[in-house]
Amino acid sequence: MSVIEVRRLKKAFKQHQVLKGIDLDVDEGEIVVIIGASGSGKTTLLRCLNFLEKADEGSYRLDGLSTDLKHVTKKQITAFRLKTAMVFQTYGLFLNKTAQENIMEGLVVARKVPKKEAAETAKSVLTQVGLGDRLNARPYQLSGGEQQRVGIARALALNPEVILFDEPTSALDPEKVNEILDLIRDVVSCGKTAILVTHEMEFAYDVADKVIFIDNGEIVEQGTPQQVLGDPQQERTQQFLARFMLGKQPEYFL
Amino acid sequence: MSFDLEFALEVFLKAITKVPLTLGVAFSSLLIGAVFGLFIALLRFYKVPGFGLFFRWFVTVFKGTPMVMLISITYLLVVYNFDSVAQSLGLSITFKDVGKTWIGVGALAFISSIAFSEAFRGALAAVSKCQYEAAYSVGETRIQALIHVILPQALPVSIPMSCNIAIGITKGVSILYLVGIIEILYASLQAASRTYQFLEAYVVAALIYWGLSIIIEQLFGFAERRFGRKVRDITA
Ligand SMILES: Nc1ncnc2c1ncn2[C@@H]1O[C@H](COP(=O)(O)OP(=O)(O)O)[C@@H](O)[C@H]1O
Ligand SMILES: [Mg+2]
Repeated sequence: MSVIEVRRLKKAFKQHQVLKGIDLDVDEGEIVVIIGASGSGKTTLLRCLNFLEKADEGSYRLDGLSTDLKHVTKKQITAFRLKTAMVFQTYGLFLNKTAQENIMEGLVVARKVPKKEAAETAKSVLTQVGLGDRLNARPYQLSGGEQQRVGIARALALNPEVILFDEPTSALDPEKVNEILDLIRDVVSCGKTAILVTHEMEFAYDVADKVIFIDNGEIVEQGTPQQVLGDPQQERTQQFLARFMLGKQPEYFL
Repeated sequence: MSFDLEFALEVFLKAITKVPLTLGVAFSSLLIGAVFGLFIALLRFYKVPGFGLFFRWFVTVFKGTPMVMLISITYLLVVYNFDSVAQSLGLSITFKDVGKTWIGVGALAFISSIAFSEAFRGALAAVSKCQYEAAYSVGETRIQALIHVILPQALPVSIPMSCNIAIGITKGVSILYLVGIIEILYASLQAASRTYQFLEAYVVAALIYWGLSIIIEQLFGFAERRFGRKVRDITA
């Protein structure tokens, strides 16, 4: 049974039609990886799913909630947001809070979890991501990789129906990318539903149950990683992947 | 021209008794001003329909009006209209009951609201968009995000400007001699008027204001170190 069902989702910025009618189904526990060129609308799609952008039209069902996106209310938006969590490319930690407080914030303020309980949860997820000894560190005292660990821990602690990852390793130093990818693999592969935007094709091949290729605001191709990445049927997908391999090439010379 | 040190001391002892009044007026005005200023800043920052535009013009107009004029105009308006307005509202109070001090506080509070609204608006703009988004993404409403994430980051940013406003308003209390409030400067000049030793009077008043400014600056510096430390690199 699908936990997310999006139909004909459209989004334009002024004259620019960025998403041209997206249909998306995600099953419980499924890991969906979205790939596509820069500017194709991947971030916008994720942001529409937790209403950081308001889609222009379409329908959206998430777990027990459903709405017509054109007429969604503030109350519905908050309800939808409480069922999602987002891991940002630039981490998005609360700069005025410690690692532990960052995680408690959504629990205590938005979900009314008692402080003590939230503090315990925060402690345990931070331990899970390897930062059990940095509870009181503030964002400016943490490296990029550590900040993203907190970001991931924050999303986990909220125990959402779905975690949205928007290029979680793109802002990291190259040598930190793999350890964060490993962490993400760990946390999503135990039955979490996740939608992940990434340019790390190997990782995508590895963790995805489903890969979706988006180009120019449309889903061009979707299927298993073996299908989409290993044997793409559409010309645009082939071109993107070829370009992508070309773009990667300099690394082979190192 | 000689400087009569002994006389200066005499003036000093008179003027220093007005420090509590000056600080009281300044502090009340600043407190009221900060509350209204924050309110105006939020209305403008969130572009609340109607209010946003209204306060944009409001602030522009009053920012460009000299303090002396604002104080005099407030005073005259109150003097000429207070009793009749109070009467038509069925209140039995008169101008004399309210007292000049409160008119001074009102005028300075007005001036400081305008200044604070600008300081806070700038500070709100200094908080990066991703802080709002992070707050919304964990399920917070606009108000929750404002209280728990945005203001705790914005207010420390506004400390240096708020310090300038506090010093400006404290010095501004001296203008209230225009409306007959006897504060530091006026008390000094009064003491000097018998012998026309105004130089001593001005120097003494200046020294007292100078001392007050230093104390205020120290207090704000302390607040800045205390609260700014948590949020280094706010625009990251
Ligand atoms: N807030 C915005 N205002 C105007 N245009 C935007 C905005 N956000 C994104 N866009 C445009 O939408 C398109 C898709 O952007 P995005 O979803 O960020 O792509 P991707 O994440 O796939 O690189 C781009 O052309 C981008 O310029
Ligand atoms: Mg993007």
